[in-house]
Amino acid sequence: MGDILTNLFNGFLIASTPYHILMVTIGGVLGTIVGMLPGLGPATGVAVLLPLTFSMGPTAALITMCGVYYGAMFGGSRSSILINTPGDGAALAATFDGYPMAMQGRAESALAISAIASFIGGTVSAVFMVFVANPIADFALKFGPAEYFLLMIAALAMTASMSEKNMLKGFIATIIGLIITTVGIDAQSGVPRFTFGILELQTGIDFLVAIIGIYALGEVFKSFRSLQDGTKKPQTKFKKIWITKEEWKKSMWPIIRSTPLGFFIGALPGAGGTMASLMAYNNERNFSKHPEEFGKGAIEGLAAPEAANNAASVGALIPMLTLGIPGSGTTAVMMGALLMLGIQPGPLLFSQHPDIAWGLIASMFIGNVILAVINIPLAGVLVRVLAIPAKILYPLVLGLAFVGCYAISNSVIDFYLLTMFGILGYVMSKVDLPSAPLVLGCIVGGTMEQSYRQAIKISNGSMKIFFSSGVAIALIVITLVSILYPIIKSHYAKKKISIAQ
Amino acid sequence: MESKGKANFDALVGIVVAVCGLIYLLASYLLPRSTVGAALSPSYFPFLLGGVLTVLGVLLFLQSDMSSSKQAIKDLKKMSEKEKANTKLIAITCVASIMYGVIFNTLGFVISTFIFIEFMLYLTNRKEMLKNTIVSICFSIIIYILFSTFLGIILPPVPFLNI
Repeated sequence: MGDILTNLFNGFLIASTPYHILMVTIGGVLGTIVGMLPGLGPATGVAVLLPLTFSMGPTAALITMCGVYYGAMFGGSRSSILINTPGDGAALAATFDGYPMAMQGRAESALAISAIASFIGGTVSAVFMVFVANPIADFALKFGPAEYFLLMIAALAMTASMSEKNMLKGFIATIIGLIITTVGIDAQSGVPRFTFGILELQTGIDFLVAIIGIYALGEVFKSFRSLQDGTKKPQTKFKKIWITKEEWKKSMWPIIRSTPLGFFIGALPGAGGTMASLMAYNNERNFSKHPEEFGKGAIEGLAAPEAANNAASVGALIPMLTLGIPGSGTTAVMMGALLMLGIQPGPLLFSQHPDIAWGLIASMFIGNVILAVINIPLAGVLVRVLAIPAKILYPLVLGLAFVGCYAISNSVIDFYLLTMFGILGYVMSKVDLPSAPLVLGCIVGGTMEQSYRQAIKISNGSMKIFFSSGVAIALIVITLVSILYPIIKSHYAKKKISIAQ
Repeated sequence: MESKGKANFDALVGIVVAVCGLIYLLASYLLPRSTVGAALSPSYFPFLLGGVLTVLGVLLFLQSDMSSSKQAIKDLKKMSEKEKANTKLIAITCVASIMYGVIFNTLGFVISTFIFIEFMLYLTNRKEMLKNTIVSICFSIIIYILFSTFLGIILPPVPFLNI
């Protein structure tokens, strides 16, 4: 305990030098801007801004990259709320209630609560990280491929059962998402699958292309309707960007509940901010006394995933720093940069380079304060995006979608894929298929397949491995409950109605 | 289900999904065999997905009723003028997007993006062509500078001038 506090104190001495504070601020501002651009999430943000850090020492480089990372997490939700286009998967859940809130003229509250929730989630998680880094990593170490596979199944089942209209359709969308990830060269055998002889498809379909296609293009296609109806004039004057006492009361417990959840999920390699924020959303929906308000602008539905995804971004650093296993795309990019600088992340980092490890942890506290200060006043400027008339905004959103897409892959083939996903998104909304499960399927599909096959390989083809540990059984129970609970609930609701009649 | 009587595509979606599931299953079986480890290992996961998708499609079909889908298709044929114009706009946008991809590398980012945005704005906002032109010029130049200078993303330059 004394050791931890001494280390943390030394970390603060390192992180609070003016140079490091400047770096975390610059990183945070750039990250926020990049995070707001559709299609550019934290992973792309960190990758794109890497050249900035080449001339720095390892501590400054890591601190700057983390600034970009958190900044993008803060910024990503801004575009989710204002234009219904998540910058990355982790900001997806912020569209569910954030966008409806903005549409109802409650953008101020939405922007404020997302920054506040992000701040609390990030700061509290940094406290967790100080104390539980090693135990959490030890627990995550026990997860074999079978447990990972089941974890992803559980997350997918929850998302599918969350789609309010029809659970079957939720599962259909999930499977379509998973099928998309099977395109490309199979990582284990080198066999090209479903590429139809197209060279560019061999590397697979980037899930970001699917997300941008469905959310940016698909949404614009859907909104073309309102264009001809003559759009209502968007609100141009805004009140103070803050929340009311009542809204805080509603959001406080969801934030407090979602922070540890997000942190824990983030710490599991392979499960990142996307899963954390969707699970937090789903949890709050189940906890809520009025779940029907979710998806229609419930502030809890925005606060919970925002706290969870920032908590997860802190949690995701744990496996990378302590085990040398990146838990997400962003931490993978960061790990690559560290290796380039001659630092090997892993169990030895804390003993060999305590200055880097603890300097980083201390900078999380400082970074979160700076980002909250940047994001709440800056949000007022950003809200003006909505004041641009839709007939001008939509073509620009299309333009941004294509640039973002090009930035990811440097290939125009993705323009065609993007268009196809736009059409898919539009058709899906026409036939009432939910898009969120598809997107989640796209994100976890690759890892899920690898875990599944590794598990099968370990057990020599026996399915028993999926029931062989306590964690596995617990995950199966969670999956079954999340599928059966809505069925039983609606069954009883119908019974009640028929009795009442 | 509760959706009974209301026009919806559920039955149709169920059929399409089940058929797609079967096609995908077949395609998975026809995948090249792996030369390392189990020969069918690249097909394991697709088999699982194809199988589940087919079952889900059949379940959705059984749960829905055909008359709702017939009604939905009838409604589709009686589409209003506005709906037709809307569908046409989407189709034109898709074609424009593909054309944008075609000219992107040859004409460079700034010119191709200017053309794309200008065209899209022409579709959505015919009355203010001067404003549209200013917006599309500013958009393509600002994004180009932002990406190439500040974000380090190399976008295709203007041909011949190479800026």
